Amino acid sequence: MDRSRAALIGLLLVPAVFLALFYLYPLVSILAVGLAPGGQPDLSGFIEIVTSAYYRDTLGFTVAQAVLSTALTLLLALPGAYVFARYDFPAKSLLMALATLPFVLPTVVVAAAFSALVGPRGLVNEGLMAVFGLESPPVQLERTLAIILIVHVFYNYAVALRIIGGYWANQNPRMEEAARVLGAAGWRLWWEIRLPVLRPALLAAGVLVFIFTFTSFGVVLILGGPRFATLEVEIYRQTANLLNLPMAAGLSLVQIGLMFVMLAVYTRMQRRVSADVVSAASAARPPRTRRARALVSGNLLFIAVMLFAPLLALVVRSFTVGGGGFTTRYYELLFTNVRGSVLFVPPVRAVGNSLVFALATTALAVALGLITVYLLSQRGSKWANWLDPLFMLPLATSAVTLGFGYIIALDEPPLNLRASPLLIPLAHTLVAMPFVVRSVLPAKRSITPHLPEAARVLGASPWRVWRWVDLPLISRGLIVGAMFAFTVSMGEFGASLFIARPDAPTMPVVIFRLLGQPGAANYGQALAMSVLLMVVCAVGFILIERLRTAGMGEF
Amino acid sequence: MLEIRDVVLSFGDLPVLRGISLAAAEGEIVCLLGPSGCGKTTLLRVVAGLETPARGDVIFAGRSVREVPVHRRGFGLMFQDFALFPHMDVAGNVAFGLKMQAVPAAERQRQVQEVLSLVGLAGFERRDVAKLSGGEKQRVALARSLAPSPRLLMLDEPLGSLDAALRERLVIEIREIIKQVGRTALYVTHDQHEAFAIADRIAIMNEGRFEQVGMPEAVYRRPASAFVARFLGLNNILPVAGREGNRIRTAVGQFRLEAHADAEAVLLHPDGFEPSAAGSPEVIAGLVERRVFLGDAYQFQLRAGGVGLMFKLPAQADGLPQVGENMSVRLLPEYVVPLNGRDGVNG
Repeated sequence: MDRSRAALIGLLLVPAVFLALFYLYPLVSILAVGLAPGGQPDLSGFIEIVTSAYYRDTLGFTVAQAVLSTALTLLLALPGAYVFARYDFPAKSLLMALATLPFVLPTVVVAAAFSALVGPRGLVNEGLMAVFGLESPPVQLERTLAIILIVHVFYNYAVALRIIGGYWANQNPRMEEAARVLGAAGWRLWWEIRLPVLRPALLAAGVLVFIFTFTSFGVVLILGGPRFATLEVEIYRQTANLLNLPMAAGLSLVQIGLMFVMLAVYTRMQRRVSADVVSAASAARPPRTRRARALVSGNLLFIAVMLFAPLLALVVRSFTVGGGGFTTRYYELLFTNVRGSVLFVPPVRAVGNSLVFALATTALAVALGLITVYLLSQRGSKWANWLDPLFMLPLATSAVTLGFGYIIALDEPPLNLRASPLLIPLAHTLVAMPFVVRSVLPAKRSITPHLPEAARVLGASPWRVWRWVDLPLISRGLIVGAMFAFTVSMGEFGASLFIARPDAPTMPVVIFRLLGQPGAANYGQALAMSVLLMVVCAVGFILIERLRTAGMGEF
Repeated sequence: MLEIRDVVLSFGDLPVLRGISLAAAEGEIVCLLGPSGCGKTTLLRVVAGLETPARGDVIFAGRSVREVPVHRRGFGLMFQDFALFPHMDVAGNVAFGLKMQAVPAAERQRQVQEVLSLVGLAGFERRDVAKLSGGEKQRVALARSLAPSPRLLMLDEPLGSLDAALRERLVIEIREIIKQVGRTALYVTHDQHEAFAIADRIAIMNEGRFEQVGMPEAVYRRPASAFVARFLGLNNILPVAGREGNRIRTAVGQFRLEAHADAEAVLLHPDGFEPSAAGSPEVIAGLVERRVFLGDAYQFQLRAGGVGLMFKLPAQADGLPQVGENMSVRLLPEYVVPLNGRDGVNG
């Protein structure tokens, strides 16, 4: 008994030490820089920051754009959720899966895609200029709030659709019929029954979308231009452009605090949403009336256009930028190290870097994730209740904050990893590990205790129980988690931008640098690289979707 | 009061209602009884307006409700799973229909209290519906459908999700409440005992048609078809092998039929058996295959003429044979029931 207890504690130490070194230590360092800049506790700098008009404006914009994005997303997703909950139509689950694709697409890819669609050199503008013989691009969306909101809807539509639609489909359809029999119809049905019943799902989806857009970084940085800055973007600018570390630290502290509050709120709501699920027979029917058919096809058209127009534009433009018809020139350019380029290496080297980092991340995240799952699923364990949220903490921390923490904590003794190739996989593992845990834990928890007991009675040692009973049963979740870890690492932008070494950039970093440079050659290469990254992430996504068990999962 | 005229409805290629007609008088409780999938719930939904029939009509108080949308019909419908609104308390659920009718708040509150005390839930107004027991939920659902004083009350397996003991008690209560408020009611169930207890009249449904409509006693004593007999657990069904005038011949013996002597099958109703001396012409003789003690009676299975007959005899009767012994019984003439159709006849 004591030996197994010691083994358990030893096991616990592995993820605990990892978390302490590569998560808590950088965070504490931010705290130190922010609240005790000279080694002594000194709140004056922090107070000055949070009371300044500049800070107030940044926070104000961050909140405002998040509120607008959330409202817009919910408004657009509500009819979609209704369609998915109420109607059956061909390829329904495929469409639902496809709508989720943006979830795994890196922000730089999406930014590049929207630039290729509606940017000054985008398909829409080029087409309009050609048709109407215009001198300048008529659609000016770049560097506007509108494009930020549009991209936020692109990203979060499916999140809201899944949560609300899934919850809705699980509601008893008789409830609505009961209301109709009792005399409710039209707006009263929405106001008295549908919306109140959906309230938990609307709130959960709203909070989640708010969190995602509140911490929006790449989209605002690339598409918003210098006029717009969320807290995240401001942390980056203060660090990278202005070298104002105390300011960045102060902003990070605010960010961390707000994120913890929002995540705590979300966790509570999410629990309600999953607790309220009653399995009712599916009420989905094929659309029979003309109105129903119009509603279904309208929503599906919206999803298709919103989803595929930018991605298609990205692919098309990567072959056609600069006029002169179809060319593979930009893909070829990726292999050359152009003199005077912003990069020190041929861009294609970033593909190799990203793959190596992603594989290392996957291995690390799976190993640590499995240990964590094992600890969390110990029956009757007193720790599980507070361990679970502890290991989810990295999700509550923005990648930018994490990257910033690494810069100030891990580039000097006692732990100097500045030159280590491990730095990026370590940061990515922190972001990816919660995905592994969330993918595997439900499968592990669904194994009834009788299964391992039966195996033990039949003579299996603890190791063989794990190997022949647990592992096969969690294998799907494990593969899904591994694929998540891989795609998350491939697309990770915020932390990488801080910590990637100039001679070993990742694909998203290269795309970002190229997008920031003038000239068709740079722009074309950025699009070409984005296409490559998109393909990798899409393949990972397809594997995830095929293996994932039906339903919403735990996200 | 209510008249259902020749209603036809299909789900895709699947015919669900194949020409259903039924009338219910004011204040009458009509029970739709049948196996699952027979269309009884769908018929209820047609009357409620939740399904639109391909053909046929529903007439209420002399007027067709075909063009009246669900929320304007003013009927009450109680669902099998109750479908209580989870975001409202007990009073909110019960008051919902009144609110839709724009009944003023004070009046609404009075009526809610009245209905709640009618169903025995006075004082439950502020309770969370999710935290009620099954029986309490059932009462809230009943109260909710009664509160707006519907012109017609429909109940779709309202006791289906409750346990047997509770069901037996509540079915009597529901009948008393419906009779007290004097509503016309359609009651759907697949449980014959529930149907017998609650109904003024029973309509037995099978594959989208009525097999028989009548008083509970009549349906039980004289089932019209082999399907009805079997559904009610009356399984001594024999094909008619030959006939002379009003006498028919079966595998276990000859019987006299007062009417319908042309029937192709008969039911030997298990309630009409009594022990008899061997040798008389209408006696059924056979071997006791099974004898089960039920407390007040014995359940016998008698093998006669290659057929197994089931019946009960009072436990007080003397000299009942043991398993493996020979036995002679007689069937009272009015318990030989002619059946329509040959479907389901054994042998």
